[in-house]
Amino acid sequence: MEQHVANILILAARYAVTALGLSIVYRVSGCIDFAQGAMYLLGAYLAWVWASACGLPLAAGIVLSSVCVGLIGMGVDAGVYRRVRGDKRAMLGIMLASFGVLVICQSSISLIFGDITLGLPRGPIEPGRLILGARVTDAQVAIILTATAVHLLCWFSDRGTRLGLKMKAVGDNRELAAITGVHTKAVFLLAAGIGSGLSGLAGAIISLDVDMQPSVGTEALLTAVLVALLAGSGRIGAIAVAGIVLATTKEMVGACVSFLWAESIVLGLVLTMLAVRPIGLSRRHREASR
Amino acid sequence: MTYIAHILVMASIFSTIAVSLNLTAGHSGLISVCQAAFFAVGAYSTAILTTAHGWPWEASVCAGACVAIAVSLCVGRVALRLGQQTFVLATFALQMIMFHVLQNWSDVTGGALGIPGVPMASAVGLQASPGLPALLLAGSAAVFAVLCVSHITRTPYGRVLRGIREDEPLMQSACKNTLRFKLNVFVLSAVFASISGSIYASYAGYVDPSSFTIHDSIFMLAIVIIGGTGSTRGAVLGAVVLVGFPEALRFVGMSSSVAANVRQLLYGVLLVGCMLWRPQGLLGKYPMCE
Repeated sequence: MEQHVANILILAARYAVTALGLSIVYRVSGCIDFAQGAMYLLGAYLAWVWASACGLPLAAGIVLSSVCVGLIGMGVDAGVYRRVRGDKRAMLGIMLASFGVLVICQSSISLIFGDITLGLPRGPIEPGRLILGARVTDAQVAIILTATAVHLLCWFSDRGTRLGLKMKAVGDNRELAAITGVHTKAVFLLAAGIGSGLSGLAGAIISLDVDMQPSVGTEALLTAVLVALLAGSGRIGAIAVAGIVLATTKEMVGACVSFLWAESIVLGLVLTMLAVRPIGLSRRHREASR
Repeated sequence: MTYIAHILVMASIFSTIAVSLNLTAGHSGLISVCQAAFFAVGAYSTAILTTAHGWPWEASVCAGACVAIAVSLCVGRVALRLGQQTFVLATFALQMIMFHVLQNWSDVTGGALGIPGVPMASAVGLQASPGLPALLLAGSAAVFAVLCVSHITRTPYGRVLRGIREDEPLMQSACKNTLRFKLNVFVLSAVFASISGSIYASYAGYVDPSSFTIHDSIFMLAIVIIGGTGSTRGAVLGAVVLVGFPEALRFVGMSSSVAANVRQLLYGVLLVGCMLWRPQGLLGKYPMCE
């Protein structure tokens, strides 16, 4: 039982931290950025480059890779999305362009690193620590702590800072925000940077526990999409709750039915839930109806 | 000659999918990223029924189309009620479910190893062996799709679809059941993708999950977007260009794995370039973003 609870916590932390970047960008731009899968992938591989190839300490490599991915995200926003961004229909254009960015990044990673499995330098494999009756590895503790810290930070920034307020304003009504003096382009750029940086951080930190392949970006994207569908809105709290609900469902399905089919069954359950409640866990229809 | 026929067969198969997908993505504005899932339904139906159960090819095509209709009706009824972007997420989820099913249901689908030894297509006693006969079969499917879609788009039915694309609430106020129109085209494009899948399985003689990933769905969508949204000729041109052009890489001396990644890189770049400089595609009528 204790182990199941620990597994749920680890999985929920992975889900929530993976979905955070996509949700922040979605909340500000109102557009689903599939390139966040690419940012996750870049985060993982850049962390490997800094930590394994360049020999930097692991923590420094992870932080540095998140910063680099954040900058890449800002570059993509300035170079691609800003030029496509316009009226409501442009959202489809941005989405299609983000598919392009995802494909470009994944195929570039495949070309540079090959389709082999890589792992961050973790030292010798040791049995996990026994915490409250459950075995948890140091990497898993790091994932849980990072996810919690990042969520709390985002939650406080969302509520208590001018940037959070500006992001909310631009997400709610771009024109009105511009009239009141908000520099919307800068807010989009910052949101892309922060969102991409967080996706990169998710990729790097999760790679501590799971090895990386060029396909991890698409898998992370699926996770982020599932959480986003279930959360129904880009609210930080809803993302955390959706992450916990999904992790609990997956663990229960895995334990009771089959771990092999858990992913597909959870996907099917989310789709079925959408038939009954298209707004997900969101309380506000407007946020989920985009 | 056989090599050119092979390229033309593949171009015809993808033309059939692209032309029908154009009805959904181009004319109705519904961006679907699960076309490879319906392609897989047809391919696996033919592969399973002809190899394990000894069904004739024509019967397996019908069975595949029936499964595609059932799946697309179930998913379409849920997904089409959602917002435009959430529809994309739901189709993405379906694509991933299908991939998991193909990968994990080893007893039926052969898992990652796939199903070898799929017999050649045969209709009215004639075998569609590689070369001209296969080209005739795939070509006639493409011509049928072109005629069918051209007819639909010329009729008032097609005008309603374009109306939904431009302003759905307006069409609803004109007493059009927009959900039914969208569902019909979604199902029709699924059926064409399934038929193409059946042709592909019997032509290739082997099916495995790697041919039906999310990247293949994005590839099919890219054909429509790059060829030109809302243009049947554009969809055919897109298929010929995107299938034929990467074949040139073989002559540069690239290994097949590198060529596959370069091909992906190429269509990613084309997709982003299209969104930036020519949002309506090569021969398109309606830009995806303005």
